[in-house]
Amino acid sequence: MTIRRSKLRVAILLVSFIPLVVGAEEPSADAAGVLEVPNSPAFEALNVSPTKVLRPTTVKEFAFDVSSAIGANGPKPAFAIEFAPIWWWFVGKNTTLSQWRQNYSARFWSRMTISLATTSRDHNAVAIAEGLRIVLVDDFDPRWSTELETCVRNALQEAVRKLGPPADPRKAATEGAATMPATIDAVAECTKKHVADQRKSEGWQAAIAFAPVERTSASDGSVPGGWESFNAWSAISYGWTQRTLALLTARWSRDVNANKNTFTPAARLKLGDENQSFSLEAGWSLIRDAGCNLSNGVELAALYEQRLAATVFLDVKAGGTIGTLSPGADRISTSIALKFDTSSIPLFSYKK
Amino acid sequence: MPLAEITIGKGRPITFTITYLNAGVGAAACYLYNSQGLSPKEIVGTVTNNGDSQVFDVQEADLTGRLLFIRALVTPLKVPDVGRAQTLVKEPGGSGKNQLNDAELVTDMGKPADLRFAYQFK
Repeated sequence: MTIRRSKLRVAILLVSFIPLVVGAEEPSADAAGVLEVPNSPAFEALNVSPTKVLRPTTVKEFAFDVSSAIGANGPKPAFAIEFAPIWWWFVGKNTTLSQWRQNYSARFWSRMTISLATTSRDHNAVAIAEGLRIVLVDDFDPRWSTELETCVRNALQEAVRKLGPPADPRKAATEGAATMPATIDAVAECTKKHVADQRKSEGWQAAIAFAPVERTSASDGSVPGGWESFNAWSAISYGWTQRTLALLTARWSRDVNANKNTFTPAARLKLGDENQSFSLEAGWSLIRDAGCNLSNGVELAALYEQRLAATVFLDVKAGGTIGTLSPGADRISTSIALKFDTSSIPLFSYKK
Repeated sequence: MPLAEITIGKGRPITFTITYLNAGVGAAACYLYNSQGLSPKEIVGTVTNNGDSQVFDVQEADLTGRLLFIRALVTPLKVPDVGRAQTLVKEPGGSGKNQLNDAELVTDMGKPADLRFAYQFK
């Protein structure tokens, strides 16, 4: 019965999401405000970094992937899927670029992604997170750029004429479609130029995400299933350039079992360029526990970042925390680190 | 399989339109072959104002048995995504129905989808 209910619940959740989902997109290059909201809220809510993420692009692939995630005993752990099926159905399939630009609804749906993830819990239970991410505004979306569009179209026109007519048109047509075997350099150049131009422009970005987590019942019946947590993120930014911007973010999470709510708004002002920047950050955390006791803390920080090489930065950070979050007290900290694309190496750290 | 047969009436010209969907960008080249599938002749298309589609006018006296081949390179501006194009042959003066066809492929910017269509005139 438990298994059936679990499978049914997964199925209902999946089906209930489908009408909502008509869109998707990757974040823009250097998309500060958008990137503050996790790309895959479900993975973030479970605090997992799956090595294999399924990304279906058709209904058929989606159905296959989901069916593979449900075993005889219910949902399997270590499953991760992210999809954006606006283009699966008529809403996106028949949308041209100019229609996308003219129609907010098409843009709204095209910027929605869904992520699902599972992980194992004690007693053979499985935690399931369902994430929804919507980019409300993104002035840096490359689809807005008529310069990029023209550049790419001209590059494609030249490339397709270079290909010339096939010797056997019937065979070529029967094959239908293929990915070009090599990158078209002229198109890649268009992208590079667009990214460079984007860093000089200004605009708004805003995104929200939501990810509830639920847990199946333990196989031995010792732990009932139910909701485990709710998580939400939001961010809005305005960039005078993509390197000089003001950013407001907020995260709320509720631990259902502990009856604990955490709310963390923060603000950041970043001034600088792609080689060096100076940021001021202020964050506030408010926690309400099961006994309705409130604790809070304010964190202030200043960060200087200097580019040393293409993807290597030197970060110098100094900050302080005031409040009742950690018993013991207010503290100050300074740190120096080398930061790479996805990692960092601490060089110096001091806390008091 | 984007290979379609079309019955041509007496109307001229045949208007052939390719539209780029999924909010992507594309470009196409169009060739008319003889009845043996040889001697391709390029047909020059015009780009419509909004850039979403290209129109080709096929000004030929006799299309019987000939083959129209079109190749489109399509890329999304937001990646990765699906490159999709749709072709429509309109025959203004003829009795045959308009022929609609489409093709799509997951692709990436810089490596566009190479979509091919052909229309065999009866």
